[in-house]
This record gives sequence, C-alpha cells and structure tokens, in this order.
Amino acid sequence: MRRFRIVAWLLVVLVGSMLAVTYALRWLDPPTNFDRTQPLLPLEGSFSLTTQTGASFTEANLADKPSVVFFGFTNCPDICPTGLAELTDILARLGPDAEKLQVLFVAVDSARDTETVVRDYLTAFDPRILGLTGPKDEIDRAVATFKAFYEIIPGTGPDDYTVNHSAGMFLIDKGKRFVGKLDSHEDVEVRLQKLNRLVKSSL
Amino acid sequence: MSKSIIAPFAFLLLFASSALAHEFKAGTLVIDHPWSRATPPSAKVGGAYFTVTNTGTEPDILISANAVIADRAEFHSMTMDGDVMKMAKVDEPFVIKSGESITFEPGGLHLMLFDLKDGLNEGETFSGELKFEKAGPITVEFRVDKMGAKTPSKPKAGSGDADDHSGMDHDAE
Repeated sequence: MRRFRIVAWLLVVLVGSMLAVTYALRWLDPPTNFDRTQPLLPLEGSFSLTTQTGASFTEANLADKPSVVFFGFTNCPDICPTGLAELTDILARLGPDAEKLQVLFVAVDSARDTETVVRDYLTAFDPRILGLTGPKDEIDRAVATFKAFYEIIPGTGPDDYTVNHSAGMFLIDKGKRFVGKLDSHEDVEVRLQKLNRLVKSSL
Repeated sequence: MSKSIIAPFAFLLLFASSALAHEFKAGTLVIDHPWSRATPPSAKVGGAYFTVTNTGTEPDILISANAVIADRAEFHSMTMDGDVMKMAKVDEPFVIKSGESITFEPGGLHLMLFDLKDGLNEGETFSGELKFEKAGPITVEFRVDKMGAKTPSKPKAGSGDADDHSGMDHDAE
C-alpha cells in the first residue's frame, strides 16, 4: 500500500515536471508567429479601381494595411447588406484596432454599381469600409487577383439580372498574402478573433 | 405592494408582445409574422419573409405574392455552393400539405422585391398580398426589421398565446 502511494506521487511529480518543461519551452518560443502557423498564398495580379470618394486603389495599396475584402453588389437582398451590417458591428467591437485594417467592398456589378450608387449604399455602414468600383475588365482583374468568383445570372427583365458571387470575406496580410476567410456562418465572436489575429500578424 | 407595482408592467409586456407578433389567416392557412429588413440607401431590392402553415386537411399552393412598395416580386432561393452565394428564381409551385409549413427566411427562400419605390426603414410597415390556389388572395402587413437581422425581433411563432391576443389578426372571406 505504501509502495503504491510512493509510485503514485512519483507519477504526479513526473507528469508535473513534463508539463512545466512544455510550458517553459512555449514561453521561450511563443507560437505567435503568424507566418509559421498558416499556409500563405501570395496574391498574383494587378488591378486599378476607385473608392467611393474617387481615390485610386490598386493592388499596391494592399501593402498599406492588412485587408478584409468582400465581393458583392448593391442589388443583393440578403448576404451583402447582412455581411456589411455584421462587419460594421465587428469593426465597432474591434475598437481602435479597426484603424489598423482596411476593409474593402468590391462591387462586382460594374454596370449598375457606379461610384455614386456605392457611395450612397455604404452610408448605411461603418464609414471606414471602402467601396471599390471600376470598369468590368478592372473588376475582373481584381476578382482574379484574389481568386474570388462572380457570375451574372440573367433575370426576367434586362435590368433584373442577379449576381452569384464569393460570399466569404478574404483576409489578406500586408505582404499581400491570403491568410484566411471570414465565413458568414461563423459566430461573430469567431470572426472578431480572426480579425484580431490579422491585426497582430502585421505588427 | 409589490404586486401592484408588477401588474402594470405585466400588462405592458402583454401588449408589447402582442404588438410584436402578428399573424393572418386565410381559410385554414395561417401566415405568421410577415417581415422584411431595412435597406441601405440606393438599394433597389429587398427581401420579404413569412411562414405559411396549413392547418386544414387539404393541400394548398402558394402561387404568387406582391408588395405595394415594390414594382415586382418573385420567389427566389439563396443557396451556398462552397463559398459561392447563388440566387435563383423559383418557378416550381409551393405546395403546402395538410399540417405542414413553408418558411421564407434570410439565407434561404425569400420574396424578392424588385425596384423598391423608396428604401425600407426599420419600424415601418407595408402591405402585400399572398395568392393561394384554394384560399385565394390574402392581404398581409410586413413589418420592417433591422438591416441584416437574421430573425425578426419578436417571440418565436407558437411560443405562447400572445398571438391570440393580437389585434392584428385578419380573417379572409
């Protein structure tokens, strides 16, 4: 009985010291380096679009700040206003860190979504969200750069067409590398944590 | 003493919940809480949502719907194909069998409102009409909820008898 107790205590000491060593090693070499924990795909391509205030925005601007990139169109009844409303809420909860990100809404419906339409549309959301518009060939170049997707689906009337498009929000670091996505089905809390990580990745 | 304080609040709650939940009846069909969502400026489209339950013994078919604030309305589905959001007009008839329900909600089936005359603002209401093969047309009132709301801000359907106290119930001829 006494021997059993000694063996049990020895085991406790052994496990305890193993845990201590593990934590000590992690403390000495914290796994916070974003580059090492994520496969990073570099973006390839170039594009030249315009923000809702008339400023130029090209792929070079992706180096300014880490970016959250959302593709959509203003004649979208569901996922676009919902996504932008949720993003507005998430940016508010990020607090001052939101300033360290740039949030892009790429309007893929170049025929209907002019700079003015997108400017009006975005007044309903966080004013830091940049609405990017441009001619169809430049929109296509931007979509290809991010490896996103959209297609025009004809409707009943000539102006009633709808647009199928990528729903996730692309997370791009300052090195112009794809680091992940926000999914509309994820809890807002999860998306908030992903943006926190994106901010930290570029410090 | 404490009862006399609680009573007015209890009444307020009762009225508040009956003001939030509303339903419409067409024969044996019950249309629960038609609602919509506020739209951003210059948005030309919106979505409208509702649940139809068939409490009768015969099936019925939802044929069409419209709303006064939109030029045109169609039934559309939204589906996810991987990460791609797809929208499509649904032409197949919506058969509602005896004892069954059909729900139009964000992220799924919706009544697509085209060419909004004005934007939709939270707190507003607008009237619309749902047309059924047997029950005929029925006028309903849609409540406009928050932009991006995934569910309407009201007690869940059938969660109590708040609906029964509602002054908003309408019976079709």
